Amino acid sequence: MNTNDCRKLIDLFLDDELPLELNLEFKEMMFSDSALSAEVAESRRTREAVAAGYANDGMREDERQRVFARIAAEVSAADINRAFQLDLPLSGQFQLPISQ
Amino acid sequence: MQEDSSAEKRLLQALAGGDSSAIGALYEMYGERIFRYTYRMLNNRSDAEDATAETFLRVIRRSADLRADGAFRTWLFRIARNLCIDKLRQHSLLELPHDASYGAGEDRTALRVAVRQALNDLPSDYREPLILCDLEEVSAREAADVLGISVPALKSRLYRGRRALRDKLGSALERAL
Repeated sequence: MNTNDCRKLIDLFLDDELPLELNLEFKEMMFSDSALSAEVAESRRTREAVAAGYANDGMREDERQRVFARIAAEVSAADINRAFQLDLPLSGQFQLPISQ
Repeated sequence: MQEDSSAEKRLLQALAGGDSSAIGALYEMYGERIFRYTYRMLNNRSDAEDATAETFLRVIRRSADLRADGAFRTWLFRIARNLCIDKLRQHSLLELPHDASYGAGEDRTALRVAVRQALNDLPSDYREPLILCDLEEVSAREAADVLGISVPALKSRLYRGRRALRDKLGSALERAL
């Protein structure tokens, strides 16, 4: 197995995508192979660092309110527009009287 | 989860039937995730606000096409992604800077900055799968659908992206330990 294959296997292991038997075997290999164990630890550390680096990306309350206000404003404008269109006279009953 | 998906189904049916008030509940369900995703794509909170609002407005505008078949979330991410790509194109034309602070009032440790810089420096082919799968925790199948590629292609990009990120972060990680 070359380095690339080994790293792909590590990715599958960390993604929890290895079949059960292979997963158990991989764990046993980690106990007996310190280089493999170090590779797994390094990959895990990178993932944790990435997750930590992006941990505080949630929406703040003011942002949540602003976004919703914008959506609500456009929805109500569209609703008013739609209601106005529905209320428009369809049969000309509001036409100006034609003088006879 | 079951409740969530049946609630989502009801909301989508209501929206498709012209009840625009359902968008409030859908925003409650997905607003936070879409904001996080767009912020991670754009690195600018103000742009992420715009993209999040526009994502939901597009949902309303296209509500007649909605199908409550479980693919709504993928569709939502796809809309958000297209908006982000448009914004990134505008930025590259206008040369607008990213949020220098990556959000005011947050911890700005060297590692945090290094991580974000390293991810931003990756080609988008690698960056996007990493954002979807490792940060948004979207499944490989769903991420592949959002990006319009096959699952094997997604996995290959994910693998290469993780490698590249690890190489870039190597020294920063050692310093942080």
